[in-house]
Amino acid sequence: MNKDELFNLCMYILVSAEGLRDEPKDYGPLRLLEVLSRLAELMATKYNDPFSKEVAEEVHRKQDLVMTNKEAFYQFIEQLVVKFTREAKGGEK
Amino acid sequence: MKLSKEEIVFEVIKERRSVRAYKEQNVPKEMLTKILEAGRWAPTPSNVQSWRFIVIQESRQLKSLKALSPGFPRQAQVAIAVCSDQRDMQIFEGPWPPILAAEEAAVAVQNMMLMAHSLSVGSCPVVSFSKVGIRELLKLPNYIYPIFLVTLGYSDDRPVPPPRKPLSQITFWERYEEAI
Repeated sequence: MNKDELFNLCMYILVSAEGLRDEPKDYGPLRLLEVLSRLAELMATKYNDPFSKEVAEEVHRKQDLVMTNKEAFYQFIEQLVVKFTREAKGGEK
Repeated sequence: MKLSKEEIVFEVIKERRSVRAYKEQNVPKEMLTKILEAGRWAPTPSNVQSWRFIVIQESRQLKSLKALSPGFPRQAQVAIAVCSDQRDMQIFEGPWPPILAAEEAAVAVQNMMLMAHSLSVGSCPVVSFSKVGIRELLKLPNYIYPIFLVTLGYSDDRPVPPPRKPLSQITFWERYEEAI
């Protein structure tokens, strides 16, 4: 995780905070998912962590559902919560 | 089978999607020029042509632009900032200048995206960006308003068309009628 990557992430969070005031409500979760995927990418690289790699790829693949299928988008977030909870419990399947 | 002009136009309109995943492949300058030309031929109120197109493809500048634009697809190879020169809009009175500038930019963007699609170049209109940040990055004077970013690149995805409301729900003949 180098300074440049962290700086870009900080900038992303900052301009999201600026923009979300006028943007659709669903963009809040979308921006947070993007932050999640970027952090997961950084973790995957730094710690060679397959869980983080999988999360980053999955989020990257599915986050745009917010534009086409909101129900599926929110289902995906719930599935991610379950996935993280299982991981927190020690990788339970 | 040779398609008619009508069929070609409608096909390009219907097939165009907002592309958010791109290949790491540069878009040649001659294609960018065609895309910009298509923007230049869009309708414009009172022929003011207030639009200003700023092409960003240098990697450092593109990286900063991405950092300032939460809606920016990550791997886009080029972006065009579509701006409006408010000095050209001074002929209009009242609340119209910013509204007309946005309308003018929107039709130019649509022309550009259709041309891009016809050249097999993917595109995405982006309005989620920091106006203040973009102004600083692109050194825009206060009379140049950034309105859209259009990202371009070769598509690495085949986005599914989102559902459209039926024509009958959004079209009225002669007068508007509220659905009962």
